Amino acid sequence: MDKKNNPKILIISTDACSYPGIDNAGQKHLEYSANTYVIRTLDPVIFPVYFYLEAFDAGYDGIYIASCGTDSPYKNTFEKLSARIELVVAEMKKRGLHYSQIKLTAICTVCADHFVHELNEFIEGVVENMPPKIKA
Amino acid sequence: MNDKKLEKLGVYVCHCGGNISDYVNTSKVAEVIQQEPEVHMAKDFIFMCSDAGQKMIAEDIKANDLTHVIVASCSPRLHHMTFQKVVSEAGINPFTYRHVNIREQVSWVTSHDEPAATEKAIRLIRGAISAVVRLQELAAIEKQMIQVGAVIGGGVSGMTAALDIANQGLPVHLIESSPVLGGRTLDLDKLYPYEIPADKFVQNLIKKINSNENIYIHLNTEVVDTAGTIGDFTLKLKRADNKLVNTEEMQSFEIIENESDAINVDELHVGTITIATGFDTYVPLDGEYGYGKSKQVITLPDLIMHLNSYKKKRLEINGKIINKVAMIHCVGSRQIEDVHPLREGATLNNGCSRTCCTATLQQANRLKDMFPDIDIYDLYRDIRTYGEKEVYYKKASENNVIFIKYPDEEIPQVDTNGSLKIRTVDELTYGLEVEVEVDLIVLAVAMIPRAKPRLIETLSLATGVNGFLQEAHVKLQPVESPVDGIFYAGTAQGPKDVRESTMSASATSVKASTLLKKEIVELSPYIAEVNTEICDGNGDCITQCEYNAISIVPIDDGKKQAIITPALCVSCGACVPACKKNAIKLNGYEITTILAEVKAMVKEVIL
Repeated sequence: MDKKNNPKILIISTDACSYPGIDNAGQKHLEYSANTYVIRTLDPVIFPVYFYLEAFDAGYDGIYIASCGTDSPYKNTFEKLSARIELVVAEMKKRGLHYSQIKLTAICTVCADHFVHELNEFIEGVVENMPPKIKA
Repeated sequence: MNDKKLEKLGVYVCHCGGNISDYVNTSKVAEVIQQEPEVHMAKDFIFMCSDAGQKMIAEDIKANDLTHVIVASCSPRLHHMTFQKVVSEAGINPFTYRHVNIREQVSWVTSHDEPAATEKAIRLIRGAISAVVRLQELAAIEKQMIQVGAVIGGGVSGMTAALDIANQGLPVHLIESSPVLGGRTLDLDKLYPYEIPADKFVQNLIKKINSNENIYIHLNTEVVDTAGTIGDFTLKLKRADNKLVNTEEMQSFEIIENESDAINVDELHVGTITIATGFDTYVPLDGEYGYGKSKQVITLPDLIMHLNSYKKKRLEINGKIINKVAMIHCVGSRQIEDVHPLREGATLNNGCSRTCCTATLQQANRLKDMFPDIDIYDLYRDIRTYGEKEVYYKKASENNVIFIKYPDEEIPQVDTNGSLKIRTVDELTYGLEVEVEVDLIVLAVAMIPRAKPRLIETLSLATGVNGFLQEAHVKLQPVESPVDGIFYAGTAQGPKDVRESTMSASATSVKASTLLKKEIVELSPYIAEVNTEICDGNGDCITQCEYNAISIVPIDDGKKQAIITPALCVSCGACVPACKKNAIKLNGYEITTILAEVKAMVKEVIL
């Protein structure tokens, strides 16, 4: 695939909110990049900093975290997740990765259009800010 | 693990009758996947979920001694459990089954690029292969159920919840902190939609409760502490000795505590808890719309209570004859930052209280029915008499109630110096400034969360942005808390009218009764687990657990170790990254397994 225009995106979803929302985009037959790979979690708060860094190392150009936001069924996990992503961004910077290569957002069970719109914007941002060695 | 060879995997790719195979080359997917070293067999078939599809998988498992199965088809939300059952019946641990979504997340979103869709399907299945061989065999955790329910809160929601549970033949404790049952409904007028007087409605419920032998009433009683988990909760109760039962009121509502109820119970042991603790009404700030500055500025609940016992032919409030009334909506609701005043330390309540538009117009109509000559000005932002409640709006219009729509960010100004005046801008007349002299201002105050911090803390419950109790999922688990065995009923969860509250209570009771009917309850195996060989008991994980599921215990040689109480763990995973030694994992969601899956998905695909 053309890496410049078709970055590989890891999408982290949640069982309670965004996974059904992403399914809903499929039910509505909304098209988005095929180079996107969804994993299903109970809450992304489970992932330590190294998880994100290893995913970048493995070859992902962007990580899109579709959390439940403040609607999470678990107490205070969004706050903890937000703090963790700040640490991830700091580590990314050290490795020459751009902050636009990661996005923390909230996607609900019926946020199909919103999800596709945001994902497309995210991919545009990733393409725009890819490090030169990959962009070339 | 079983004795079978680990990597003997069957992968089944579904056509979904063309829903997948029209956009994904499913036979190519099976062909490529067949080459993976762990894969013993890969097949594609028209409908994996059909009887024929399920039978094929079961027969393959037995004939080939398969150890793991992956089905790539529709969303796991539809058929994960179907195939878990198939593999389980064929002798494979159901928690090692893996489902790959190549319909909702591949074919239906990549319908114009078959090579790309095919490649994506292959990558997702490769990820699943990498994960499935690492999955642990798990088993649901079984626990004895105490087949007794508890309902905290004796308003209409609590009473309905208790009655519905009791009508299933199950004993239930109904715990109310005040001396009487009925809650805030006792303060209301007539109830939508049948205009039944609120007190009659409450009396009817109380009669049913008193005649039901399965219900144990605890009045004047607070839950001061809780312990335990689903199937075996302990509630510590405190009966307020200083709150004497109002016998006159009790007799009027025929509440009689049975002898068994009157025992001063300190502790209850129950299998489920239903929280029906209700709401509070917003108290306007001093000076907000003139409240507290003039006795002629009152709240809507004040007006309702006043009218409930009013017999005179002319309306008189605080010694003043009332000829003109202004009613202001959204007081304490739908608050906007820098527009609405806030109490110190209070958070903005940007939610709609849902019931007050209807209640305000109901009382406007009531005033017109009782005192036809009265003039009423209704100052609103939006009228939200949803559904059939529109009849109140229609009737108010026919009653010549004068509607004034004020802008969201320009709240009406009240002048309490001298005569009572109200000034605002009317959007219905394209921004005309209006000033009206009135005798009474009625504030339609918000429903706000009832402060029960101790109960919320002790039960580890979550609250939403506006402070009401937050359900596990707004659509899929609307009356369940994130904690197993704890349910919500009525306005503890958010603004509702009486009908909606009792409906939610009945929904809750179905959930609670379903559990209480079981002698053994099965808990999710997806819980955190400590690797005792690595854990040094430093306690970093404890600070991350919001559910008191982790404790540190001493072990040999003065060392410490973290232990998890399985029934308290809600599977959030917050403790996992807290451990710098990686000594905690969430069963079924191990980081190493997910990373392996993530890495396997980026490997090159050659079609």
